[in-house]
Amino acid sequence: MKLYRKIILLAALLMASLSLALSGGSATAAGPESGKAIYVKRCAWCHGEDGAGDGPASEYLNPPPRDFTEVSYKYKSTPSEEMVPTDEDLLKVIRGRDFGNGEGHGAGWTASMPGFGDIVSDDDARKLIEYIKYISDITDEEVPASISLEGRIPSSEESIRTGKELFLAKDRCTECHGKLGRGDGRKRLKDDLGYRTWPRNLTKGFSFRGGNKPEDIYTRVTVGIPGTQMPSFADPASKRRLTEEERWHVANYVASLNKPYKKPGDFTAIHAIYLDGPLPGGPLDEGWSRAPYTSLHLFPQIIMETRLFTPSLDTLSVKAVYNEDALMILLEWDDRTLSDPDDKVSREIAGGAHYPDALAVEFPMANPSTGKSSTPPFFGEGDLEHQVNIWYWRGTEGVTEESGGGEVKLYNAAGITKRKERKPEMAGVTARGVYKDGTWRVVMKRPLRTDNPDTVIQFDATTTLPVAFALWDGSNLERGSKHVLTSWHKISFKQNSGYGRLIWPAVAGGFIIILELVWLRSGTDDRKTNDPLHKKP
Amino acid sequence: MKIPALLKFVLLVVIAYLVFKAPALLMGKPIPASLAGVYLFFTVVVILLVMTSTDKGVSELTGPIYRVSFEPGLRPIRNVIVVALPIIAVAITYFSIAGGEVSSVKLRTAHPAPPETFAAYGKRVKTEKLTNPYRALEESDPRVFERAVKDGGKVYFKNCFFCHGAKLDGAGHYARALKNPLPQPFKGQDTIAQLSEAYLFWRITTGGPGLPAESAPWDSSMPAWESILSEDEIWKVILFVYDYTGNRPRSWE
Amino acid sequence: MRLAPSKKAAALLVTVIITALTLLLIAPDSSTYAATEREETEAALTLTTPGETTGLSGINLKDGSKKGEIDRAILLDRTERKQVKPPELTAKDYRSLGPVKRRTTGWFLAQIHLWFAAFVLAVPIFVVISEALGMITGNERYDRMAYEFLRISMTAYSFTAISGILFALALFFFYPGLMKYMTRIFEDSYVFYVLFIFLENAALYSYYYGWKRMRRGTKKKLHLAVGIWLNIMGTLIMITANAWATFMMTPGGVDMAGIFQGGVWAAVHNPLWHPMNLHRFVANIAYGGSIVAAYAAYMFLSAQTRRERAHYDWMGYIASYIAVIALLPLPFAGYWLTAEIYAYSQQMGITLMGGLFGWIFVIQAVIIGALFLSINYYLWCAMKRNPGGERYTVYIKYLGLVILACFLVWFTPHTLILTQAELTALGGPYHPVLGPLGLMPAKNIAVNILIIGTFLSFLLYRRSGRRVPAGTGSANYLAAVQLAVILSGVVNIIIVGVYYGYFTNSVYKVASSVPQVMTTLAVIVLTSGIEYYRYKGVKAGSRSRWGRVPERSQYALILLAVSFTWLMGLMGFVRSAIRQHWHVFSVVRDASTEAYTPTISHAAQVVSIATIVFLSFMVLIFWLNRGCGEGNSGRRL
Repeated sequence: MKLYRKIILLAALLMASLSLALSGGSATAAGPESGKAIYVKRCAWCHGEDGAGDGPASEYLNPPPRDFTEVSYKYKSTPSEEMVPTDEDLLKVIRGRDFGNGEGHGAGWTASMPGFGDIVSDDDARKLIEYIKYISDITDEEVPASISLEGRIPSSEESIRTGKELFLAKDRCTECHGKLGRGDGRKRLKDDLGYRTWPRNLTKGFSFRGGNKPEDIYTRVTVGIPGTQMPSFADPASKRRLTEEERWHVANYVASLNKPYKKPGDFTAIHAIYLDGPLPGGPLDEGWSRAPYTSLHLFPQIIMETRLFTPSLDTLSVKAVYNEDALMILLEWDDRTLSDPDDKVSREIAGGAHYPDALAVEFPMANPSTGKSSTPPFFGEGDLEHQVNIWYWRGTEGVTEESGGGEVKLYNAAGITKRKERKPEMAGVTARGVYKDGTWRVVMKRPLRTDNPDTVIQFDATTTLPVAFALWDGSNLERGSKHVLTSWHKISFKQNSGYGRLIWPAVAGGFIIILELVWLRSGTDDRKTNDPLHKKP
Repeated sequence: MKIPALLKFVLLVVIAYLVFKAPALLMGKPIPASLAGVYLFFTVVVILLVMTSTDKGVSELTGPIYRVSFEPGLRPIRNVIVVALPIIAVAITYFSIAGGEVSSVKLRTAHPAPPETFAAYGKRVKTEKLTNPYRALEESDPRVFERAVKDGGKVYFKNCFFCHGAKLDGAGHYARALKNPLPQPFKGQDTIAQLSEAYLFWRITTGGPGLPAESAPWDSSMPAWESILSEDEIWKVILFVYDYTGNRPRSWE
Repeated sequence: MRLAPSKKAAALLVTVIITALTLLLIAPDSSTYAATEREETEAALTLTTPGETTGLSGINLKDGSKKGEIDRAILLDRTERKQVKPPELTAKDYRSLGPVKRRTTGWFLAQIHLWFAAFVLAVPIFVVISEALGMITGNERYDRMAYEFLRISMTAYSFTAISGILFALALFFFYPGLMKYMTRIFEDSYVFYVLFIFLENAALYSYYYGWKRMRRGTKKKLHLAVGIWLNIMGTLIMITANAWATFMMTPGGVDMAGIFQGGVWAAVHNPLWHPMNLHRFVANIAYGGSIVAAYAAYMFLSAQTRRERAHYDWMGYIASYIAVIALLPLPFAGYWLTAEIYAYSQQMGITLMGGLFGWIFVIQAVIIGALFLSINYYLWCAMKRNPGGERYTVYIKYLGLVILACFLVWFTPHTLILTQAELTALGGPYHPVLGPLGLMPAKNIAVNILIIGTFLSFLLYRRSGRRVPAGTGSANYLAAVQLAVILSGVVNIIIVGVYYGYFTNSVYKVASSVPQVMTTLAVIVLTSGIEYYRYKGVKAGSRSRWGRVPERSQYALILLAVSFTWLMGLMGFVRSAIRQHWHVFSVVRDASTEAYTPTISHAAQVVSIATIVFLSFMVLIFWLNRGCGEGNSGRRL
């Protein structure tokens, strides 16, 4: 037996040595140059060869990539009067996974920079930091300590109430972030380099680049965001300054503003709920509370010229209800501006001429799950073989009133350049929208069936149906092909009867009971032949 | 202590289940349910085959079942099981139906067969004869080649990285909005290393609209880059995506 | 032989109908086909270099640069030259019959016919081998088995004929336009086909009815010669029909404009003809073996006596042994076939392996894995036959583990089927762990180790029937060497696969499979050699006790046959479907309403239903044979 062991040992040794040889020497050279090599491979494309924030991609990004020669780091934890961040601050941004609930910088929600933690090891990240500091002319002695989070006040109803008062007082936060925190301030913002910036929508926690936990928010309120118009509220010179305690209250309040439903989920089906009775009366009707929100992520149109690279809208929330007669959709999205061409504030924010906000809903002309062709049209306005119906709505008159307003247009399209307008009455589509406190709520309604099924989609309330959306923010100078959109999502019609979901469990249970009866009977009748223990061939 | 065969079987199945769940629990990268189901099925089959390969194994495995089913003394246990089994079946069926949104399975072919010829830049090209004009420089003039790769990188970071990502992992900053299909990643051994450069050229020039039906062209957000980029830029960006990810294009010989 | 008159009648009917059809179609055709000019010429392809060779084989006559080749092919072709322009079919060139689905009908009948044909072509092959073995060893058992095999195939033969007629009728009825074209090209070969069928018929009847009479001496040798003649004729029938099918995939003798130039030989001798002949020939043996094994299992399970049990246990063992031996070279024949498809048209090749049909290869992998599982299980259970087999049952669990691991890697698909949630969690259709396992190198490793594992199961089975060699030093030494050969073989397969598969570029990836296969073969040959040497001179244990195998092992044999049947149907569909919307690839376009590729689920349904129908017929045939009396054992015990 010893011989066996020797041979196994030999084989194992052979295997081990070979695998070592294959893995090769992964020894790395140390020194500033090694940091540079990583920088050139991974970072220079956006931040530029010399770190001046002028890489090939920079002109397509808003906000633009950091300029390391300027020493202006947005998400840092050192006091506002210090320009220099700690190594840990930089590491956090490079790794991109250490923020709040994993929804901050690097998570791919709003920042253009991804987290590099998966392909750049911590050792390499440290080398990169050394190199970046070398470009920025930061010496180690200069690096100050992070601000203290020791005085943390846990969130409570009282703290949130105090925070709210401070938030509203002296137009402290509302000037930019709006009364309800939806980023609908009255000020056009720009960063130190003159690029346009948008105030954060505080109800979308997932979009906070610096993290959305109270301590992250406290850090932002205390430090500010250098290079932008977000100031430090700890600055003794500021008229709006807050004490440490007050800043914690504000942070708690801001954290409480988060509306989780606005974060787009993984499942993107829109559930149309059956209502036994009348449909909601308008955009603000209470009746909508019976339907769930489905939030969708929007992307700017970068498929064909003229393209949009600097969108201002990121999500759209949708509800749908139907009854025996009609389908009704509610589209809700936060828009920081009303974009009324006649309105002075709107004009100021847009920085000159701009356009009304608009919305489009798209359906295939024939339902792919019931129609002749099982393939849907191309999501961007259809194709020659498969046309689409488009419901277009524009926020013109009456949109600030309770009952809503705006104008509707209907199109059929067989491709982006092949769009034909139809009369709205033909399909009976009505739409009304309201703009209030930084949020659009638009309802669109149409009978389930129409007289012209060959050119207009029929809503068959038993199937799912592709649907796509597009939005235009007029004060971001979006019109025509410059807009944000979604690809195909699905509307699924939830059935009103609940019996369907009981049939299969009953069948399964019955099947098992029958099996049991057959089995047990076979044993009692003739046990010997069915029991292999007793069976001998 | 000897473990009874039936218990051993149950334990082995549980262990197999945990092994197939491990990528989801430890890495957050689940084995797709469709595949994990087949894995588990065949694992159970093999365990059963091994355990029933001898007569002794069969009787050890089925003995307890027979005893519980037919031995008069075990009536209480039998009754409990007889009642419990249908209830479990009903519960499983009920919750699997009512378990929230049924997320449909996508049978989309990510890399369909290219056509024999296709039109690009006003010419008809034969896919299998198409080669990257810069590829030869890799050997003959590495410095010029390196410059072409760098140019390709610039093209990539002005046009592609929004969706395909700054890390070439298919997770660009607009990728979250493109769930169906997600932008293609280029890193990893199982992506572009399986494809020829001519294939990439076809996919880039004709984009989503150039896909065959099995690849759901109606859902693809990929533009036909022929209208935006030049032929030269496309060959260079192809060089870049291979270079950055350390992959080699596939050749047919 | 009560069935004989009906069989004779059926055979006669085939011959008459096929002759009639041939005569009907050879008659001059008044209508002429409109010439079609190709819209694009190669000259327009400015990005390509003219004059480059296209395929590896250089047989692609469609390429303009291959003009010389055409001439050579035509010169070599002694058959009468003719020009056939491809018809531009319209919807009028198809007939319909109420609600009957044209394509599904043709497909279904073709499939049933192919299964029967495969069976009746394969069975005579080992009937002859078995008869020869009986003559050489003098063991009556082989002769009895051969006769019984032949009797089964006699019944199957009439089913083959009937399904063949129905298939031909369906083709000529539903696809008159296409069949007119095919007939114009292949009319000469029809004559040969009919001739071969006549000759085969004659041989078959003499062989079957002469069995009892020509039992001894020279007569027996003559009888064997008749059997060999029967096989030659059967193979000729197959390869004639193969020419028609392969011409539709890789039309030979067709010039750039799609016009057929040359004689029938150019069309017959198309690039895919030989690969297909080889692949079908080998697959038929494996298939026939599996069906006979299933027959044996069926007879075993319904046997009344111990003697019958022993006989059918033995028969199942021999038949499955033949099936496995024939199964092993099949992947290589398949590789040649696929390589020729790629060489003829890369597009067709990628459609096959990478495109839509990639999914079917996942199913194929699962079924092949199931075949291996069945075989291993059969071997494990069969150890019971041998007294002392219990000594080796402890190893079964390790073999099971190895085979399971290889099997799971083997069918891990490259393209995963994901739900939206999984897609989001993975951030794309790729998996960090499963991704590398979905690639070819991993599969090569898995399948080679799978084969070694199955070989070890077989080795253990063999050992279970023998006494342990005496524990001398040299015997121990040999055992250690044997183990080392197996271990180092496995290590070599893994290292070669991982290194060349993942750390070099694609040229070496393909090349690396050769050393892997060589390693596997070397392991099998060396281990067997040592095994032989070790056990040489060691007294065999008591003989295998045939019939003592547990019943559950017989179900493994039945599963083997079912899997084989289904797999053949599915892969046959793929081979045919990669033509997509062409009747004759790139020459005659399908203008029917069914010129689209069916979905995989539809294909699976058709193949599954056909499998059930075919196997029901097979069960019927088995049952008929039972009713005919126990010819083999002669008397009931």
